[in-house]
Amino acid sequence: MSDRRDDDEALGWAGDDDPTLSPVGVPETSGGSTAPDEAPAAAGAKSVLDEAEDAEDRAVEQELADAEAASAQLSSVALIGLGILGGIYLLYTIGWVISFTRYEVASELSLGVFTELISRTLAVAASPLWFVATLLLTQRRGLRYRFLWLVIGVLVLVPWPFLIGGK
Amino acid sequence: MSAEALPQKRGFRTFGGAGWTVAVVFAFLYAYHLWGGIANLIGVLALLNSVGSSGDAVIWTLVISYLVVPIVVYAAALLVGRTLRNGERIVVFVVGFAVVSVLSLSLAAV
Repeated sequence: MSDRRDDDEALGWAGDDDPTLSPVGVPETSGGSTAPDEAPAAAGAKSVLDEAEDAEDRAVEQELADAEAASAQLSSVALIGLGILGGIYLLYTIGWVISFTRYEVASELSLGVFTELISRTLAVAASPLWFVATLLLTQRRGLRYRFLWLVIGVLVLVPWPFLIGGK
Repeated sequence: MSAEALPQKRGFRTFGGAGWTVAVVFAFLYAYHLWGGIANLIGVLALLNSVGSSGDAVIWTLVISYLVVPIVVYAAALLVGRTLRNGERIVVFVVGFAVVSVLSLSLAAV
């Protein structure tokens, strides 16, 4: 029952049981030789109840922990990894946007120019689309699938036109 | 475990009419890119003929990859979408369509 003693210590100051501090008129017997015999008995009597309460508390805590695990908070490592990958996708998107702006639209609009514009717009949209789609579609799968697909996207979506410096 | 109402094993057999409709509609969309690749191939052939050279390996690799990209991405999207719901398949095909543009532009930039 060291717990109880610890609890008691938390509620008192060191030296509280100094006999010189006992107020006048309070019988000294309560703190005397009978206390050590009584305390374990009382503690034992209580501990049955306490044990039941503790068990209940533990059950509730376990339930809570299970619920928290089920609602799947990302671990901090996974969160940082997602952040880094998200940053890469953001950079890719910026790269594609820059490559889009480098494209000089011919003065007369032809079908070829139009389709080229559509194609370049799609290229800009590809990175965010891949990122969001991966997060959506891998919800029901494991975290491993999510990272696998995000890494594949990083390999596929490299903005080569921007990196090479052409149009 | 994750898909409650869905059959355990999902594949092309569970596509159903709606699934195949989605696949065919996107096949036409991807075919647009494929025509671009074929047109490019014909253009390069005509150019090489007019110059009188047979072209080097790099050119042929680029031209053929440009042609093949839509087919490869479509096949990949079809495979990935195999185990998904129909709405999710549409998402995969849309992303794939954008990816074709990405790869085509990347190849064109080389």
